[in-house]
Amino acid sequence: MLLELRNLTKVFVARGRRQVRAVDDVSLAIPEGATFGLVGESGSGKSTLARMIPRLIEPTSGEIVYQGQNLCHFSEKQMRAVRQEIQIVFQNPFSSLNPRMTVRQLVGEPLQIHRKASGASLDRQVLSMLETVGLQPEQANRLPHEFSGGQRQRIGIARALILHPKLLILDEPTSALDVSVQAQVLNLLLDLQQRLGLTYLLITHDLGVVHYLCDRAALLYLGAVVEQGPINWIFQRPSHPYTRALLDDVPSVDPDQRMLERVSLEADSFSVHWGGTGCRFAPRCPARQVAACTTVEPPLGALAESEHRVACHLAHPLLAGESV
Amino acid sequence: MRELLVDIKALSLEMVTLDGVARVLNGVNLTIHRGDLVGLVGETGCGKSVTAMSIPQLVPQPPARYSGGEVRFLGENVLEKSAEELRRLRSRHIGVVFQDPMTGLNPVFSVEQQMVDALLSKQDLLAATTLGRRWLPSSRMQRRHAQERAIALLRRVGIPEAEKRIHAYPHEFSGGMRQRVLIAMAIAGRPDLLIADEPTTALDVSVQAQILRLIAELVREIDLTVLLITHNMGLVAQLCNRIAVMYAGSVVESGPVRRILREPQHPYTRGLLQAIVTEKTGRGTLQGVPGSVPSLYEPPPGCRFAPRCQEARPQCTAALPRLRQSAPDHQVACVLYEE
Repeated sequence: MLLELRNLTKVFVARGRRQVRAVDDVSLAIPEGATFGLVGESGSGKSTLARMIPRLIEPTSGEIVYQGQNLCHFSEKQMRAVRQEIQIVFQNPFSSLNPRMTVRQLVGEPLQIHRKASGASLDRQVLSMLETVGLQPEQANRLPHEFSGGQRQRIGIARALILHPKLLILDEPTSALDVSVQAQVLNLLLDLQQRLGLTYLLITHDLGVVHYLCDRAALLYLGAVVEQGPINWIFQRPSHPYTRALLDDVPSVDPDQRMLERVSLEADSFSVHWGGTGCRFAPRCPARQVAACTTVEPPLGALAESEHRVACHLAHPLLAGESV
Repeated sequence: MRELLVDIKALSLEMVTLDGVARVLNGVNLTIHRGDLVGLVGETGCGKSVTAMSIPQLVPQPPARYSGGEVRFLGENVLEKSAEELRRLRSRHIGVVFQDPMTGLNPVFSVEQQMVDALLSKQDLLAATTLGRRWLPSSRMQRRHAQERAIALLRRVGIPEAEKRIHAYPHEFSGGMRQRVLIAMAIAGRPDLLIADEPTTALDVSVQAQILRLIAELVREIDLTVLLITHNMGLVAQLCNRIAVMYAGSVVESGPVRRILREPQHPYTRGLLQAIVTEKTGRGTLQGVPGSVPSLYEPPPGCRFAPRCQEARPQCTAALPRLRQSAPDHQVACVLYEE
């Protein structure tokens, strides 16, 4: 395993000492060379989780095991070295690039910060990286506003790759892009992974993108994993009512798939209150409920295929002590 | 034949900016009949919002400048209307829901204050036109009446405990709930046409599905005609019965949704449909549209899609292809379908 998260938790203390468990006891493992999808709606904690991995946000408890070492025990100096190997591509290519820096400066900056190269060697690396991500070397002296959204995201990817990372965290890399351009960026990511042997952690709410890029995925709801496993099982046998609802709510381009006539989720995760006992999804769950749903928090239990795990009493009737 | 509500003919619009004159709309043709649900689809910067907002004349001039064509609403050209006539048009005939529910509401006023003010201004206007003067009985009574109507509207759009929630401020609502409030305000005047500009782009899929269902219900109940601006073909497939595809300032293809999704003709429409990732897309097989959108300051000669088109021919760069009938009820602007 390249990266393993064990019982990772982040509690933010809001005004009035109200505690928000943004990430709640999340465990997952990402093998080297794989693409792992982290799926969830806004407020599910997926970006907090991603930012905890290079410790841009300090976890409250739990372990981040990267290549066998627990990063939580690393000093700031050790972390600097690790952060070269764990890079993030941010969501919005319009706000994540300094508008007053040229492409050459933007892509070269990480090399300067980590004192990896300077002068002619830096320049050579920058130009070769631009080519790797499909930009022209003659564009190196331009400013971000001269580029389209897709090209800007290529600059963001170049910036992340210039330090030769092993793990790339992609935070909604295409959600700000138009469809015709999204395809170019997704295919670039596939190609780069093959050529450079990268491991990806992809954060997204777009199930189509997850299916296209990922080998495995975890679905996050209010900070906790509710279903996880190999991508085909999740899509062909979605076993958590939340996963099923999300799959149903993607508007299909086939007009015969009548999405609007199906009933699915009510309200949203912000306006429905979960008191902290029982299943966190119970207040919105469209499925038939058993008593345990509101009293016992369902564990993330393995289904028959042991790699497919689901936190739902209905999927594990015996664990809940009831017949469904 | 159903009544023709909107008829946009050869509409051209320029934006005067510091960088020069951007040719934003280039002869747009679009018709909307009463009862239609039209999806106006295209990528960022293709002019779909500017086209739609030309109907209630909400495009600020300057920087915009209409350089040709007309926009007819119920037969009358809105480009020639006075400010007072436009106010009545916006108040009574056209409701608009904007993309970002965070910025569509004023953060310092409660939802109640904003809705009541909006309703009262509509009432004033109605009174002013029917009685020839401002009708002012007890303003307190008017306010109470408007408040009741606001609560009923919020209930209608699915806000639970509307009589309590109406006193809350916009930040106390989630994105989906805020969008419901905006829809309530947009339908308050019982408009003929609802323009929804990317109403679900900022929302999660489950909330997006709820908002779509709500719009579909309203269409059935209050005889609404909808112009949905979106870049998401899935939304159009699920909600609309007609579609118009825009590229770089022109409508390049339009017709019934089923027909266009099944047999797209324009190479751009075909490219857009192929670029959508679904769970049926095999890894590595996704095809985008190569290249990027052309500059509006110096648009390429002839068909603006030609530089990205895999089927481009020499005659494509000669002149901008006109939108023509290629099959019954199906229009396309492409030389491949001329003759």
